[in-house]
Amino acid sequence: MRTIFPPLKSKPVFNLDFSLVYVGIIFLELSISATELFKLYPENKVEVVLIRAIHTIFTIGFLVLTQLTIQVRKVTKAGYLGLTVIGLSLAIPSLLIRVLLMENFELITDSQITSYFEEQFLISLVHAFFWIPVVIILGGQRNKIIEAFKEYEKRLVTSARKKIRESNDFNELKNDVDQTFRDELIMHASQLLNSLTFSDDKKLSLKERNEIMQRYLKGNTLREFSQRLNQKSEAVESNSKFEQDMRSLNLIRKQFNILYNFTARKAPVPAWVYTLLTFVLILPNYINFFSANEILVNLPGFLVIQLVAMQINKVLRQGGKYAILQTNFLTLLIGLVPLFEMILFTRFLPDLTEKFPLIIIGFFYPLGFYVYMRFIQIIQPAAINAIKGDEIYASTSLKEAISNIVKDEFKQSMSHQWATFIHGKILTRLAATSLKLEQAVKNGDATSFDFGLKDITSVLSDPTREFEQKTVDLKTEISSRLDPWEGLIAIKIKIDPALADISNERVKDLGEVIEEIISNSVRHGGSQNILIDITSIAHPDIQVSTEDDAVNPLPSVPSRVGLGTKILNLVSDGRWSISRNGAKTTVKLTMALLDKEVK
Amino acid sequence: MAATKLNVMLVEDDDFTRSTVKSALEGQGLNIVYDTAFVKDGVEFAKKNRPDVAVLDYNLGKGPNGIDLANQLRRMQPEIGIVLLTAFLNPAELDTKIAQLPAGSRYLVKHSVSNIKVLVKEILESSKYSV
Repeated sequence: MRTIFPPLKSKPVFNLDFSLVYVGIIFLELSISATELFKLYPENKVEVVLIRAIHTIFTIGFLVLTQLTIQVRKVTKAGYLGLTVIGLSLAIPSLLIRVLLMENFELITDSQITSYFEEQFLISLVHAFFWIPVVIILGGQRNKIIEAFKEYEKRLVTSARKKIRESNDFNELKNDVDQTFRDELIMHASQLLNSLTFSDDKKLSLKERNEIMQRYLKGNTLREFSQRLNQKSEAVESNSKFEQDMRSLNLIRKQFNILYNFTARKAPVPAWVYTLLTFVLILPNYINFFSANEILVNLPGFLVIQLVAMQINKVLRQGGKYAILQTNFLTLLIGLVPLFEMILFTRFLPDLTEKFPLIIIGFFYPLGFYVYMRFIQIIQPAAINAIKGDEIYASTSLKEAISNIVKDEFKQSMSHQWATFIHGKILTRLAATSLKLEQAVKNGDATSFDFGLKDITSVLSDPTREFEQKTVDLKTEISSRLDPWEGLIAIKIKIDPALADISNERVKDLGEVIEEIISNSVRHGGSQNILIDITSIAHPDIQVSTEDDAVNPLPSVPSRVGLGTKILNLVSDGRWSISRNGAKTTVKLTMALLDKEVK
Repeated sequence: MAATKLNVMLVEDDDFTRSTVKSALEGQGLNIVYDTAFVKDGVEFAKKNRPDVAVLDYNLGKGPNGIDLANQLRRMQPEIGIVLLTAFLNPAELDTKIAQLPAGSRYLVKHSVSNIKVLVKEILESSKYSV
């Protein structure tokens, strides 16, 4: 198995990324604080806190200085030797400050300085030669991991979107939403129709009849319904960079367990890593508190850890329903080995037993060890490869979140279509009828008056008649979307002959996409020319590529999360991009046609 | 300019509405030189005949809306008067869209058109627009 660290014989070069060193310093200071507060200096809590706070500030200051020096020298990469030099340049000044502070706060006496310095010097060497290089290397990996996660998020969302769009649940929702809007429109139209029909008294004069009709022809309830739908469709969610990052982090959190379970089964961390991590974590305590005999007595514990870790590997390789549960238990058990040793030795070797507070050895340490091991497990190259290879499935909560987004996009898209329809076909006709009746009264033309009323009655008695839902063939749909733009923008279109005959409900979606791209190009880009290329790429996917001569720059990210973006997301399952290349704006969108959707 | 001297072009995709508005405006003495349901035809006509005012429906069905057409007409003929008809009752709903209307354009809630004089007044006002 390949690990994040290259083979010892090679001479690898690492990116100098210090972001995790800051985190490491904070963790280290907290860890030392816990030991000092609970074990070494329980009577001097204030001094300990002050020393640690000042020491942290100085250490971070040294780190900033080191980083600046490296930046000035324009060094971006280093080998392991370089990393240890950086480690020493941080650890040694930090040690000197620590000794100085301990002396000034009188936690050590003058006579203790030399021995204290010697102990801490050894620990500082561990930091310089191990921990600092490790966190710098991991920091370099961090970007790769985050990038892989972002790509993973995109593919996961695409795949989840596609599954949701094709699900029965979504089809039911589509029908429900459509039916709800139809029902409400029919209800309002019927109410209006009844009012018009029952209020019209032909015995009255034209003027009197008109006055009554005009009251109803304002169509207030229909207008409110249309306005409500319009507002729904234009609700824009903010989508700042911060929110996007938080969403990604949330996704990582939700996926963490799935990712851990997958990588632990596929590429478990080798047993020696458990043993080495324990050794490195405990080493400062050996140096600080243990005599040579105590260390010797404790060493068999590492054999136990190695054996348990090998058992973890065995369990994971064998697999099974409870493999992960057993692994979790055994990992915690390894973390508790120092506690077991302490209890055992206290009973049988009291002279060779160094005691540690229960909260550290029985809680913080095993928990920290458990978290470290999980983290190490998911940053394995196998995890990144699994992410890249789409081998990880989406968590239930993620699927639910995406499902809600897709449903919301669909509802907004439908709201928009119905609002436009009511506005363009019903309200317009009401206003025209109102004008027609006024004119008829003015001209004393009863026939024209009755004709106007008959026309609106016909519209209201079947208000959804003209709302298109039927499927059409690709050529008809495309030309119905392109023809209206003639005169405003010159459109050149190329359609893959393989697609010419497809006829299904996704063709209408494709029409929506074309219309959205053209209208954006005209309205926001100020384009005069656009080239549209519709090709059948890897079956059953269709790729739409457009290139225009937009004179206006691309809108910022938040403004793209309008209805148009939602339509494109919905249709393409999120697989679309917009980019500016010189004087051209390019949109690329991929949408899937299911086999059942291809004629 | 007197109403009778104005050459008005009307673009409205609904046949019933278009013929009703056309006859009402003609009844007020306006010269409706061209009426169409199609953006393309409206642009072609304006290119050749340079009408004084264009009365445009906001919602023209699939494709461009009245604002898209208004912007194109203003590019072609900077002094053209433009009146946009909308079925929205609350102008606030059109706020973001009105911002995209070319300068000097006027808009009218369609229901007000039942009093045709209001529309005529808007047409006359729009015809006074100068670059």
